[in-house]
Amino acid sequence: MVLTTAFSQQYKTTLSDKRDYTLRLTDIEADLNISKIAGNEILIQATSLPETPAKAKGLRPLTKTGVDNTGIGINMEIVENMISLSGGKTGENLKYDIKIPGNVSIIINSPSYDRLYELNLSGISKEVEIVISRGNIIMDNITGPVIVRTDKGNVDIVFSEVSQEGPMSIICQSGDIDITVPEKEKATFKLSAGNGDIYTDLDIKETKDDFHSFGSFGYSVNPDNQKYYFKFDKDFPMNNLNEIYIPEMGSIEVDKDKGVLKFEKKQGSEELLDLAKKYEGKLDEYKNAEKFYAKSLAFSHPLYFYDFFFYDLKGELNDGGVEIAVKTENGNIYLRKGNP
Amino acid sequence: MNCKDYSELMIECFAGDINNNVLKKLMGHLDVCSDCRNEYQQLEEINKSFDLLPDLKLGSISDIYQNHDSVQELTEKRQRRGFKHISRKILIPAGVAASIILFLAGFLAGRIQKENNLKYQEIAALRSEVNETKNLMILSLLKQQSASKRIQAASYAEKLEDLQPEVMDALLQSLNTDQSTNVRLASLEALSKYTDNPFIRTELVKAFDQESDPVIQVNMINLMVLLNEKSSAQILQRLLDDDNTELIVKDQARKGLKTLL
Repeated sequence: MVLTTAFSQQYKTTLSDKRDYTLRLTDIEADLNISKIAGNEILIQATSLPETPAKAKGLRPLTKTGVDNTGIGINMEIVENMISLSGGKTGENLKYDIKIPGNVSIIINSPSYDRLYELNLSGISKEVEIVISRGNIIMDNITGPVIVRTDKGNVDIVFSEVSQEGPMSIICQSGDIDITVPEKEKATFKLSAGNGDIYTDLDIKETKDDFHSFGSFGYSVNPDNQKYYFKFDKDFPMNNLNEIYIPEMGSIEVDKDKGVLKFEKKQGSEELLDLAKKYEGKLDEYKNAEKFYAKSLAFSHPLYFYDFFFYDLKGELNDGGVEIAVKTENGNIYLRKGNP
Repeated sequence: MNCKDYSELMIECFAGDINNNVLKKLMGHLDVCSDCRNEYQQLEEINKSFDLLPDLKLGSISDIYQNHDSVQELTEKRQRRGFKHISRKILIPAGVAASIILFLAGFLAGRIQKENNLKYQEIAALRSEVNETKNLMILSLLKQQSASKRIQAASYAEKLEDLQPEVMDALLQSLNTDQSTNVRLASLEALSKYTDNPFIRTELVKAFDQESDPVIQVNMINLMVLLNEKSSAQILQRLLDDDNTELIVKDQARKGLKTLL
């Protein structure tokens, strides 16, 4: 049973407490404040709602996406457990305060924001998924799972605890990501900051998981010092793939038991020319050095450290837990200890 | 709901993706339907065995065989020791007894051998069943409304030994059409582990050609360069020439082209 009452600037809906809901906000071009309240009502309060022009008196307002059936510039539909809000009104300082019960997870999908909006979420203990083009996201007292994707804007998340319910992923095209985690929580971080750096005061242990540890080895890329060793703990992760491309030198085909199978040089490779200069007149030594160099590069190739290809670093907090992927293509990552 | 629906519910249930009401419904059905109850118990066992999976490597199987060898050796040793201290008087009855013992020993050894074979078969069957279930689970998770669950599916797929064609297709579809970039990136990660498969490789190049999300584009460029996928060079060139391409993508494409050609 859903009861609905509408006030001029406020809207209220009662939900059933017997099931879980998802609140989906689509194309709402306004600042948002979402927080949790006790009970089973959804409360939406609008501030700086643009005034209805006098000419519109007696007419029914339509939003871009449907009828404004809330009186606050939002179209609302409830189908099964999905509460869909979509917006039409835009305004310089338009802001919605949304209060939701504890059994509601959130999806915000507004990929066409044109100004830098502010999204504040507080106290949410269910899954939150946010896709926006521009905007700063601030989440406080959150448990996750959190899925965030922004084009431009910073993301600040303070976890009160880290839900182990499912993996999390925070991706910014351009912007800093700042995450605070209580130090006793369990998590496995996959981190990557393009054109930026990663900073932390958490005790994160870098991991070498299955895809790393199959070849725990030391290697040296110095052809003068031909001491290298590699030891395979596990099988080659990709059954048939043994041809690896080394951009600087060409491609090399390797087998974990037989070593170098085939080495195809790149014509005019600077590295190889340097090597040839070094071993001028000593053809045998040169050939050895060349092969050695290729081989050691091959075994230090990113394909062998597979996760390093998508992420700069993988590390565990308290022996690891739920996977949290954090990626910004242009910005810094800050991982902080929470206040105990 | 029929039994088939409940069967799907069970998988969701083990994926931890079921709310209390539906769970109650499922439990109610299990009380009345013995077939489904059996299936549920089997799934429960398989689910438990997930944790054991790394221990079921060949090593532990050969351990079983080693134990079996030592049992045989032990029986032989006992028999040899036994003959030394026996006087002639009882040699004939002893001979009879010995043959009985030998027969019994042989019988026992045979049984152990058989049991071991069975064990081996059971383990192999269990492993393939687990693999099958995991594949099913991935398919089910990929359909979930929760983005986190869909990422979970991709990370399961990443760790599988054997990717079934349906799962491959589902992952490719997720990479191409999922609403969430986060999920799509996770699917790309999973698929890139299987790039020794020519089909996936071709599909990834196709996906790269269609891609418009800058974050995915950057990661795809990196992957194409690592795989030395020369057929992607013209896509890189197109991205470079296109005025609408994001700056970070252009930078990466420029670097990529330099190394690819």
